[in-house]
Amino acid sequence: MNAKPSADNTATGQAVADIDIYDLCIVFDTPAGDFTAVDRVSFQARPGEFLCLLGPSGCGKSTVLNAIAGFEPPASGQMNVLGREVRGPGPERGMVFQQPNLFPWRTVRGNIGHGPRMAGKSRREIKERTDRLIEMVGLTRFAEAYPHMLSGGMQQRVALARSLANQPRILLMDEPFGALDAQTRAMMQEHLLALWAKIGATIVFVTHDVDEAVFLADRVLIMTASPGQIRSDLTVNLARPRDVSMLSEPAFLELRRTCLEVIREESARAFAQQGVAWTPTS
Amino acid sequence: MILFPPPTIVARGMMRWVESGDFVLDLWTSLRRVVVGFLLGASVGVIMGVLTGRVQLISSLLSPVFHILRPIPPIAFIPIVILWFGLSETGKLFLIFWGVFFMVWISTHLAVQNVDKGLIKAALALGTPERLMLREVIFLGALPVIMVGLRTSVGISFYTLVAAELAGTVAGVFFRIDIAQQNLQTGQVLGGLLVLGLLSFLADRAFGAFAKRAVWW
Repeated sequence: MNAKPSADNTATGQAVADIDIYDLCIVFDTPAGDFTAVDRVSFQARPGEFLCLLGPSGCGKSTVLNAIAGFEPPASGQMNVLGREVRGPGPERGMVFQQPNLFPWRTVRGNIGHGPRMAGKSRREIKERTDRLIEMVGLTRFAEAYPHMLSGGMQQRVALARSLANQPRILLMDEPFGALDAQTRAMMQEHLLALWAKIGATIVFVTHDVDEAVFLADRVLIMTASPGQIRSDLTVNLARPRDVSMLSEPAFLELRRTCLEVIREESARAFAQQGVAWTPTS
Repeated sequence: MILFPPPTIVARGMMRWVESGDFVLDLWTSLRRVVVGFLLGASVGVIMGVLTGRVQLISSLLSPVFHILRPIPPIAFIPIVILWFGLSETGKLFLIFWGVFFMVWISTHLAVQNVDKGLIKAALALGTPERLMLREVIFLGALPVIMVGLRTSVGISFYTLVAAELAGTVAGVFFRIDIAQQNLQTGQVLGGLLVLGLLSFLADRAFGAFAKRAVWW
C-alpha cells in the first residue's frame, strides 16, 4: 500500500521524506461519543512532490491536512514534517483554504506581506517578496486593491501568494479551487502547476475532484468514506509540464477511470460495512 | 396656548433662552457630560469586552456580574447616585457611563468572539504569534461590529443624559426643560426637546462619519 520511496527512510532512522505520517488516527469528541475521522493513515511525501488526497466529502481528507498544518492534534500515530514532530501551525507549512480568508482590512500587498512582517523581515525584504509574488500571480494592477474589490479567482491567487510569501517548504491546499467556477478553476490549476515548477515546494492538495487530482498530482492517494483510511496510492506518470490538452490523452483517461472505480468501490464498501463490522479502533 | 404653543411662542422661548446666556451654558454642560461619559463608558466597555471575549477566566468571573447589572435602567440608579456622589458632576458622568458601558461591553464581547475563524486560522498558518493576534486579526476583525455597538451607545448616552440631569443639577439642556415645565413655559420646553433631538441626531451622524473612516476597508 505504501509507495516505493518509503522503504529507504527507515534504514538510517532519518527521515528523507518531507512528510512522514505513520498510523495517524484523529478522533473527534462529539455529543454522540467519539467519532473516528481519520483511521490509521500512513503515507510519505518526498521533497518537491505533488500529492493529492482524493476522496468523497466527509472522508477525513481535510482533517489529515489540518493535522499536518498543526490545527488538529492526532489521537495516536506519528507525524513528522520536515524531520520534526508537528506541534502546531508554523510558517514553514503554508496553507491555502477553500475560502481565501484574506484580511479584508489589508490591500493585496498588505495581505501578501503579512507572513514576512510577522517573521520580522525588513521593509525592503517584504517589499521585494511581495513585489515578486504579486507579479507571479499576475496581480500587479491590483497591488493596492482591497480583497472585496477582487473576483473569487483573484482572491484565491492572493491567498496563494500570501502563503508563498513565507517561502514554505510545504504547501497544504484544502480544496482551494472548490468554490470557483469551472473556467476559473481550470485556469487556476494550470497556474498552480506553473508556480509549483518555480518554487518546488512539496504540495499536499486535498480535493474530491478526480480530474483535478490526476491533472495536478505526482501521486494520488485515495481515501475511503468515513472513517478515513487510505485505500490506494496511484502514481501519475504523466509528462510535465501539463496543460489542458492532457485531459483527452489516453493515459490520463485511463488513470481517471481507475480513480473513479476505486472511489466508487470503496465508498460502496464503506457504506455496506457501516454498522456491521466497521467499528473503528484507535 | 399653554399645552400646545404655536411655533412663534416656541421661537420666542428659544430667543429668551439664548439671550439670557443660559443656552450656551446648558449646551456646554450637557455636551460635556455626554462626551466625557460616552468616552469613559466606551473605552472601558471596549477594554472589558476584549478581555471577556478573549480570556475565558476573566469572562467566567465578570460576565455573570455584567449580565445581572446590565438590564437595570440607569434612571433607577438616581437615588443611590445622589447618595454616593451628591450633586457633583461625577454622579452625572457615572449615569452616562453606566448606560454606555454595558452596550459597548456586550457588543465588543460578541464581536471579538465571532471574528471569522477562517481569518484566525489563516493568520496562525502564516506564523502570526499569539501575542500579536489581538492587534493583527481579532481587533480589526471585530471592529465593524464594535462600531455598531458604539454608534448605538451614542444614542444611549443622550437617553441617560436626561436621567443624569434629573439627579439634581444647575445647568443642562434637560435641566432647562424641567425648569421651564415648572414655570409653565411650554414654548421653551418644546424648544428644549428640539435641541435635544437635534443634538442626538447630529452626534449620531458625526459618529457614523467617524465609523466609516475607522473601518477604512
